[in-house]
Amino acid sequence: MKIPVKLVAYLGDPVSGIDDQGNGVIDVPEGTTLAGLLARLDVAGAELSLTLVNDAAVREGDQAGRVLVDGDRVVVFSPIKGG
Amino acid sequence: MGWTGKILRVDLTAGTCVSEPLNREWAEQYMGQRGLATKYLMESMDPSVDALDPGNVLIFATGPLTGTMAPTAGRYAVVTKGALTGAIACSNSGGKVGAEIKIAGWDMVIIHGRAPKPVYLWIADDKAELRDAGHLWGRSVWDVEPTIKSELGDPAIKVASIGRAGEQLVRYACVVNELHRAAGRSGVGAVMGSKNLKAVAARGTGGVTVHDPKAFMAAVANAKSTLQPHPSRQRLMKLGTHAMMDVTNAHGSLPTRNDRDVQFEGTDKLNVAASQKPHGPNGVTNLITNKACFACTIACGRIAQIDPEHFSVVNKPQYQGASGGLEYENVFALGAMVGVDDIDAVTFANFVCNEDGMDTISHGGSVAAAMELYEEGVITKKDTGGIDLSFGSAEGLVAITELVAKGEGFGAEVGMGAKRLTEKYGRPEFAMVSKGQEFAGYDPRAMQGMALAYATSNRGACHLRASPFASDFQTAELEGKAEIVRASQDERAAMFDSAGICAFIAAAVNIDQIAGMLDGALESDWDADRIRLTGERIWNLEKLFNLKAGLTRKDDSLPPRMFNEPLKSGTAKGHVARLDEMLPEYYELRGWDEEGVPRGQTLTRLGLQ
Repeated sequence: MKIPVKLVAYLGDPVSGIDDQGNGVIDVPEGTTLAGLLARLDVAGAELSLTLVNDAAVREGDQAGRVLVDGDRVVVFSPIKGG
Repeated sequence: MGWTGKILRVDLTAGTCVSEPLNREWAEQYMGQRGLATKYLMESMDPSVDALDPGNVLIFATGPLTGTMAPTAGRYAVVTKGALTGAIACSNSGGKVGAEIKIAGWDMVIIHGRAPKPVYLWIADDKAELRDAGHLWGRSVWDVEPTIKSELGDPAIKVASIGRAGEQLVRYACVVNELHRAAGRSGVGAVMGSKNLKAVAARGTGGVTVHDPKAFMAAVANAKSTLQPHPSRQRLMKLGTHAMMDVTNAHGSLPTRNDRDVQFEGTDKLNVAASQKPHGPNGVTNLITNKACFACTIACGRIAQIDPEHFSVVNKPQYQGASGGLEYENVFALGAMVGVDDIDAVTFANFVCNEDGMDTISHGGSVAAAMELYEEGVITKKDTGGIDLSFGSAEGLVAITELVAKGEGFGAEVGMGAKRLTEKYGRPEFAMVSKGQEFAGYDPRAMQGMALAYATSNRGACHLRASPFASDFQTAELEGKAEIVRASQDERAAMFDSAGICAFIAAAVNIDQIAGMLDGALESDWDADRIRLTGERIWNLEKLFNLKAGLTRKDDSLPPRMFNEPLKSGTAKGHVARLDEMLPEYYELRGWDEEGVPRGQTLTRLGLQ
């Protein structure tokens, strides 16, 4: 299953499958959760403040229970200051 | 220690500058800058006077850490009764002039009265005098700063001044220092203009002493050790606050076209990526570099340029070089909020706001309100002087911004701010304001904590008075938000706005580390609990000022659009602001009654009776 992913304002180490603009399509097995995808990307715990699946926010505590399905789109934000 | 121990009291009416000792007891209770200046303001004026009356008092205030080696310790505040809001105003700025005033030997400058003719204040170490500013009146910030440095013969002088907007009493005029840093909000520049005070120029050759240098330096080293490697510092340095635009756009909290929408289709033309790649026929890149304030190792400031062939700058050489660039709040307000996706036009509007001293947030919100009046047919080109004020009109944005800066034509009406403008035309519901101050870049329907933060902010709608961001980006559920807003209001009031350091170290430096720096700098003992209690005292003192100024519970509110028009898109699609469900809990947490008035026991506990 291929999940389109966008990392916004991510300045960590390069992530396999994600280009320098933060866009990529990640191939994951059926049944993968959002938490599993973040682990696969190796950005879990990297100070992430917001994740969206199909434009809906998924709280950090709910990421392990959110099973991804074909067609889902994931956006991952790093915490940003906007003053 | 941490303090110079001196206050400069200026009477513009009498033309006098007098030194007086710092009230140490008040400094213990209110820490400095925002808190201490509010105490001095309360003791120096009647809060019910009109903001533009000579009876209003204008204070330039530093904090105990301002001018020290603490990271980001270059902050100062301008505290007064706001010309935009009629409420307490405290506008905070970085740059270098705050530290310069402190290093010159002054903790605070308190300005009374109105000069009979334009003057500027010149502070050279322990000497202070009022000088004629007749030759500076009618000139921009960009013109005044180098002129003052030249005539006083010292390029190291730091200047805070008003542009033509402040002179014209544009209600959201600000005070600008070092060309493009601003004490931006609530119309503090209009108050300065009403006093015929064009500028404050300072040169200091002394320094700031601290109580326990060894402990202070250890605390500073500790703070820097966590700030330096922190990813938030890296992001602010490399991306600036500008990066927030992609977040709010995706989240659906980016105010667009006067909050008719919360996602802007032009984001890709205005975001960080757009600012970093060549565009236009000349391949000009908007972003040139970044810039830091005094003692700052973050350097979030942006320096930008405009395509020299862009329509906004043709035959205007003063805008064809590098100057203060796009940060989140100005790119939201001058871009998405007015529906403009032309990065050069947005940058131009920002340049003009800096050049003539206008708050970019309130200017964008006021132009957006004018655009909605125009779209709805309430005003036409007859009213605007021929300017097309359709949402998305880059030409309209450029033209009206120049007119507001000069106080000319329809610009004089937009310069009244969104509230007064829309009231004049009988459509006050088009003003996206709280306490008369335009919203910042977060729609309260998509961020419930921000809804409460805007409504209860003592200085009017503001994104910097509380910190509900993490909660709001995670969930729209209300549980816990009132306490998050209350607690963060108190913490921010003291540990950033009153200490003299920048809020942008928040992610990397915690309250205990900041307490350590204060403890080393000051004679008395400071810890996190004392910072929080001091913040609560400051918040309640500001509230008391507002009550005496005539504000009531009805001012702790939001425009009807926030309650009546559900969001059309984004993560909070279908939501409205649920302020009424949070406000009673917030008042209770604060120890206030149902009308939002502090109870007697609350005031007693805080030493405010």
